[in-house]
Amino acid sequence: MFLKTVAFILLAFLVQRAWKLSLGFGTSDVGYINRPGPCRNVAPIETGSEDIAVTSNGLAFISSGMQLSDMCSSAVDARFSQFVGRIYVFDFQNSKQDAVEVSLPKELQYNFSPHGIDLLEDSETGEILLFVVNHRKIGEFVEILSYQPESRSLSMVRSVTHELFTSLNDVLAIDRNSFLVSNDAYFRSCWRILEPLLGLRWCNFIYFDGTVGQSIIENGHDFNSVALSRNGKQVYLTRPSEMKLEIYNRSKGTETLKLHQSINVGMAVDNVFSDQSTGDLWLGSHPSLALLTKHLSDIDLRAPSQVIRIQPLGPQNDPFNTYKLFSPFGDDGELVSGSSSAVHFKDKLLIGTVAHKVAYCEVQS
Amino acid sequence: MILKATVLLIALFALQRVWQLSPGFGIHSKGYIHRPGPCRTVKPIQTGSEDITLTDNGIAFISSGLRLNLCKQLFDKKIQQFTGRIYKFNFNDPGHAAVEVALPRELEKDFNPHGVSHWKDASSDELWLFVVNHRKDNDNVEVMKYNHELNSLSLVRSVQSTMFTSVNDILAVGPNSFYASNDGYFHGCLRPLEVVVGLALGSVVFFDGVTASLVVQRQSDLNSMALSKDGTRLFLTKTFEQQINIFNISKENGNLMFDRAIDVGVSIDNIYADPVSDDLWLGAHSSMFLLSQHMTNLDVKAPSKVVRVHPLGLETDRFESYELHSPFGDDGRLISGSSSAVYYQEKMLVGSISDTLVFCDIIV
Repeated sequence: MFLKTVAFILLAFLVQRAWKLSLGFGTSDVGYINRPGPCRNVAPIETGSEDIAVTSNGLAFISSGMQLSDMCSSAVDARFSQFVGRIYVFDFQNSKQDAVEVSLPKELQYNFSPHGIDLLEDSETGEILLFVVNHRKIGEFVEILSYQPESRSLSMVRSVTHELFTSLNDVLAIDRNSFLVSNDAYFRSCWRILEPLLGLRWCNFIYFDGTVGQSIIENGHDFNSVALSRNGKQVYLTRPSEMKLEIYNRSKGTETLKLHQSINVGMAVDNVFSDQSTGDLWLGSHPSLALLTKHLSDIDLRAPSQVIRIQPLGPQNDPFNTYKLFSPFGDDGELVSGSSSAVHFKDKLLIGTVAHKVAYCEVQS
Repeated sequence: MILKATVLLIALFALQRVWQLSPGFGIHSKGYIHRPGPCRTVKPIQTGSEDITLTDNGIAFISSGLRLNLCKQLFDKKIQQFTGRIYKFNFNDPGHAAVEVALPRELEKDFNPHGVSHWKDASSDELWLFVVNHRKDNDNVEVMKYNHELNSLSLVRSVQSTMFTSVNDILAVGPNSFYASNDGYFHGCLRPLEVVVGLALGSVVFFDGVTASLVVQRQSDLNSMALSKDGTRLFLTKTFEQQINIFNISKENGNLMFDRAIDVGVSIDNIYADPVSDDLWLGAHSSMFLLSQHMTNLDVKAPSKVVRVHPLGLETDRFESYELHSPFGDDGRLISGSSSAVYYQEKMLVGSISDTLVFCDIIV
């Protein structure tokens, strides 16, 4: 009798978990092809372009070659261990040129598996500082690097690690020494699969002030990408499995965040880019997490891609009070598989992927 | 004991039906906005443009004002006030509004149009319009001759048949012959039950000019039909199953032999086969859930989507492989409940069950 009850409760729990997970899993979701204008790949990127950061002059920095093999190697394609971590630079104002590899500081050569990326521009000196999440062999790091445009190289400014960095995903630079960073899981190993299955909430969202790191959001799961509003008053956070874009009101200085609004975007969203000129949010998204998972276990299998733009229509102090959802780009995976990021610069779009190529589009419609 | 078993069986059956219906139902589907170019509504259409037929020289005939005779209590009462009409739109002069076509006198008071098709005589340029008409008593197929100078239709013949149980779409294959798709059996409020339980009471009828015969039987969820460029294949849409079924047509007797099915991934409505490219254009409903809410209250917007199936296979098996494009998507504000889409020389017309008609220039 007792055994039957336990079995029943377990079954009911599993059904509930399956139901909750199925919403984002998109087993039947097709990748329809649609373009905002002419689109093409950008050479020579073929092993991922997971995240992209853009300067005010249209210089895009792309993190590439993330080796997912440290995240449960038996579940991912063996070829990931051969990926080489790189930073590429692409100039929107010289879009016919290929993306160019940027040389890394000596400490990071052979020690670089980059994920989320952000940048700071010093308005006086013109210096560009890159903040890059790096899944080093020994642990999770945020690398702060200075870009030297003449030599197209990066020099190490500072390397930050912390016991709260369990499985980093994206970083948001606050100033030269401080940043916000998200954990998308607690485990880095195969145990991480249990976290969504069992609904474990062991992730946190961290503020590093230059000296001390602290959790500013705790007991969550699936914190993915982070961006800042134009006026610095709101922080955007994506939650892929819940298909949500969360908006937090931010207290500058203390960096306390209070959840203000949750937008259901209707598909698994990955990285978010906040367009400083329009206030629009651009999201690299996955119409089917099921097909993305298959693509990561065998890179030759295509995963559909989609870009979503959220246009704010509300007042200054509450821009997303009302909004419209646009989808200017969709692909069946042939041009780009597994789109994880999309950045917009003057009617042009750059679309990055977890483990595949990059697409560049002119936006005409 | 028997009661427990029966309850369990019913529960399992219900669960299985929910599972089968749910992908098409799209409870969490969003209507993302995207355009192939500038789009606008076409005046004066506001009470539906359910189906569109397009001649090879760019003249579109649109059925408007459909009052679905399936459990009226479920639908917005405003729909019962709609007037059935045929409009004409000229792709060669898209700046002009759609023009109402004069109906034959016999139909002026009894016109509730659904699917439309046409047949053009290659040598004489005579044009016949075929319209599914949900008359007060029966579903008829009205075969009408179009007069270009007067912009009017005259009734050639009104075809009735006991095989017409619930006609949705029509496909003309000659001046006198056509295929008619029955989307179910019951009218009134037994129809929702028929859909939920999944009764296979739909069919396709072939009328050769004299006799009617059933060429597809015992199917559920049948909707719209189109003909391939070479006239040898018939495409049939299945809405909840999100599929296009492709049949080979027998030249002798018009019989249909099932060839293959294409999964389109969204609840599709009417289909148009482009005679120039072989592409299939479909009006689709991103969310049947929101569509049903829209039909109950027309002020609730239902997201719209157009899908283009582009074949990549060889002549012998064109749809062996294919690409799925989506040139148009809307949150329902420009057009709610898109049911049809036709393409002509880089321009597109999108029709809806009970809402507007949209014209787009295609620049991407």
